[in-house]
Amino acid sequence: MRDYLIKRGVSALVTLALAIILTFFLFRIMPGDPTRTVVGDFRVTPEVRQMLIHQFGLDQPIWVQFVLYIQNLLTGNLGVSFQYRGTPVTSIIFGRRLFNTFILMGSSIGVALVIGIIVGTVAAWKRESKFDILTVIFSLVTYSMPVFWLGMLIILVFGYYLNSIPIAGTITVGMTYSNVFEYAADYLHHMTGPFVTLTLSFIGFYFLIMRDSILDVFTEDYMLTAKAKGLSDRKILFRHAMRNATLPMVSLMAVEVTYLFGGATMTETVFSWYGIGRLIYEAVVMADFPVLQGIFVIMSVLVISANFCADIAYAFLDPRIRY
Amino acid sequence: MKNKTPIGAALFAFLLLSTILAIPLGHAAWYTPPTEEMKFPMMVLGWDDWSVHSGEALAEQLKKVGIAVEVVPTDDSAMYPRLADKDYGIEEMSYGFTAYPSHMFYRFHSSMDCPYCGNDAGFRNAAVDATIDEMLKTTDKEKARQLMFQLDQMLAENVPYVPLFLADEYHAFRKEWTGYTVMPAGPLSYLNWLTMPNIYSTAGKKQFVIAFNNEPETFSPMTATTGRSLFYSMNLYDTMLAYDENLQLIPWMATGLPEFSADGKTMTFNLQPNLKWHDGKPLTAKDVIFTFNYIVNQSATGGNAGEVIKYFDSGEATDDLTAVIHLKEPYVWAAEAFGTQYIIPEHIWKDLKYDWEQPLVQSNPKVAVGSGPFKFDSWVPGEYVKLVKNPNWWMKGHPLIDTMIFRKIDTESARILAIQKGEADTERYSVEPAFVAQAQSNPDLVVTHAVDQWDYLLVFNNKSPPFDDVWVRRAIAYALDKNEIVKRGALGYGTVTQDYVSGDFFPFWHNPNVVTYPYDPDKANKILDEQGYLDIDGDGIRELKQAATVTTTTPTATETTTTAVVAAAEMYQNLTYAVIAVIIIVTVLYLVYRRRKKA
Repeated sequence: MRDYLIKRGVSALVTLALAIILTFFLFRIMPGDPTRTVVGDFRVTPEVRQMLIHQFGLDQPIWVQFVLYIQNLLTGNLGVSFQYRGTPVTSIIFGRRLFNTFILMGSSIGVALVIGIIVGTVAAWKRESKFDILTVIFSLVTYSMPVFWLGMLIILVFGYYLNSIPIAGTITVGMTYSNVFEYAADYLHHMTGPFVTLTLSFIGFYFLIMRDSILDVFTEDYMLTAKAKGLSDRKILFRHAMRNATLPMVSLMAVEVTYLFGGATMTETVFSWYGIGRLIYEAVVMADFPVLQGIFVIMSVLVISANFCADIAYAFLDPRIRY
Repeated sequence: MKNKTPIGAALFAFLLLSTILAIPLGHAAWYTPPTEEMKFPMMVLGWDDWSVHSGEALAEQLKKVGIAVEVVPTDDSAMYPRLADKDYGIEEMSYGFTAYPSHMFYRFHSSMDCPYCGNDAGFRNAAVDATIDEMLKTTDKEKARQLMFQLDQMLAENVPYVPLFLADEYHAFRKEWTGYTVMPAGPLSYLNWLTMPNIYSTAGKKQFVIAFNNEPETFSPMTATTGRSLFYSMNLYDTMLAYDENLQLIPWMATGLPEFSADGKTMTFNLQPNLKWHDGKPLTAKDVIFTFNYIVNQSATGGNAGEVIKYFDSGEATDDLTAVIHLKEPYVWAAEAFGTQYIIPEHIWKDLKYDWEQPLVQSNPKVAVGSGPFKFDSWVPGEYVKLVKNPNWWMKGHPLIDTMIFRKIDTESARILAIQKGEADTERYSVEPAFVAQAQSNPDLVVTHAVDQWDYLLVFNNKSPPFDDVWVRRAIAYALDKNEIVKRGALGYGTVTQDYVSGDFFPFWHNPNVVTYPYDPDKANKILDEQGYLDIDGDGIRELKQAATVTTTTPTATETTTTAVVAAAEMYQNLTYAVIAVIIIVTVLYLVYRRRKKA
């Protein structure tokens, strides 16, 4: 077991190092000049542009930029944003944006996962019943529906005509709160729209995978054994089938961690939800390389460590895994 | 699992190496001038629907005169370096006006024919240069205007680019709001000093909410270079002069327009008495001089910093209300450039470096202490920025509202719904074309109309054949039906421009008698025929003039060096291609080998 841990740990670190190097060069191949998009105004004279280029550090040779990048990374410094005039990237990412994205993505992924697993199990059990057919159709429809369209529809109907949810933002403009519960209530009220939109769009995916996975498990010999032992249907389904079928969901979750951090650009934009997804989009449009770099590095750290955890979890969950 | 590792590593190494090697490729030349037919790729700005759709309309019109243009939607990050390197033949997009026609210098002077300088057309003309130089030195506005008329006429004859149209500006206000000023660039822009102090609600509302899709980038006027940042500067800080609805200067903190000395190199501003900063300290001529010294000494980038750095020589405050500024040389727009620069308080900024690292108000609240009509109150990132009325502002009784809120709403559809619902009173930018009709038909909204500052142009690379031939440029100008282009490219929400100083945007500087090119495809065809651009093979596309007419000359020393450099660059590029090809082949062979071995 110790050897296994060390082996996995080393390979995770190597992957991380490669990802960090790749991230740097990835943004340097993009042809383009960040000053042009950041400066925006054509009146800016060549002298001012030169000053900006100097401030951005873009007049340094590429290998100097690379060494600086690695040095800064080791001290936890992700550089400063071009677009927000020198605000540190860490304070842009680790702030309100990350909090908003975590809450929204975490809750909608969590709820969608629970619903997906339970409904998927039941649908597989009652295969080809009306329930099964209806849920499959429902999940295919919500899964393939464009998320921004669903979001706009929800805003139009519930935000404008029925006036029951706010149109934009995470809190009411200019409101003062007497206590934290009032704040939470206002926040959750604002979250209703994006939460429903995202949950609906996620359910289908988990549902379909879970349903397939359970159907797969049904063909295993141990299911026959369980039946032969005379166990009740409920016990067979939830103790034996569901537990084994959840294994693929664990590796799926390790991949989903990126969403947790990366947010959902479309939904965040439609609901003006101030999160990381929207930040990525803005940074791409404004050629704000330091911000993009920072997000990519943090994301790769998260994914690699999540995969490392998943590997370990696997070793515990599945007694067959031994290296 | 174990077997996969080398393959994975090989793939990764390939990815990494090719990425690194691809860096020089990103900067390889894109455009090759045609050698036989009049057939060109035309860059348009991919994210700008107007640029793309008007480009398509334009291509169809050019087809009728035998010029084949292929519309290539391009991202800005690819487009601007190509413009900088003059690595294109023809392109179409919007550029942008400011309050005075300084674009006549940036776009046409040969000294601006350098990477990222503004003269994207690569236009060089000694007579035009001389007229521009003379105009820039003329401080008498009437004389400068006559020179501008001449200049417009010279450009009309040379056609360095074809002006197409100005975007229209539509602003939707909830109907209870009034007192705003509609002028070029719209009622809410960084060129409009008049709206915010004077706007009020007939329903007695004291809070004005502007839906805005952007976060503030900076509140510091020393780093504000974009319209969205300058709009914050405008409300938090103040200037000595401002513009009226015809973009003519009016006194603002100053008591009148500046007085110029006879040689035009000394400019005197007189300030109103009793001006105060937000923290209660008096604002004097010393702060004015400090601001310009600060910009020059610290190489600041915000506001009119470029012009200030170029022309400011020295300055002194002869008393608390008189600021005397000495220029390095006379400048026609000196009053505009210095008068509309946001003035910063000496008592705060004397200890503040032009701080690239910490410029926002969150980390440094001092940066929002100005003397403008509004004071900074609070900013909740991603939600709103709240400004409150400055009760001590010099215009007595103004502003008429108590609070001004920028509320962040990301999409136009949500902004329009918010305005219709009353959650917002207007939005910061123009209503997007697809929503104009919806806003106009809503009884709760009033929609204003003006020309915007974005001017769409068809730009030729004046150095690249056949666009180095003025007759080709003229023929193309005749071949374009601009009304049709506006209809298709801008859904009709645009104003056609016929010359280089649009009368709709610059009423003062516009030459009413300038030569224009009315839509006349027959004339365009005739010109091209006469000039020898004939469709010889009958495929509907004109042939370029025969290669025989190209004369060979001995290359000069610089040309030889350039050729050598270009050849070296090409060799390096080919080498990179070769290395990448080898890597791909080796990887594939390796993978095949592994497969074989396994089997």
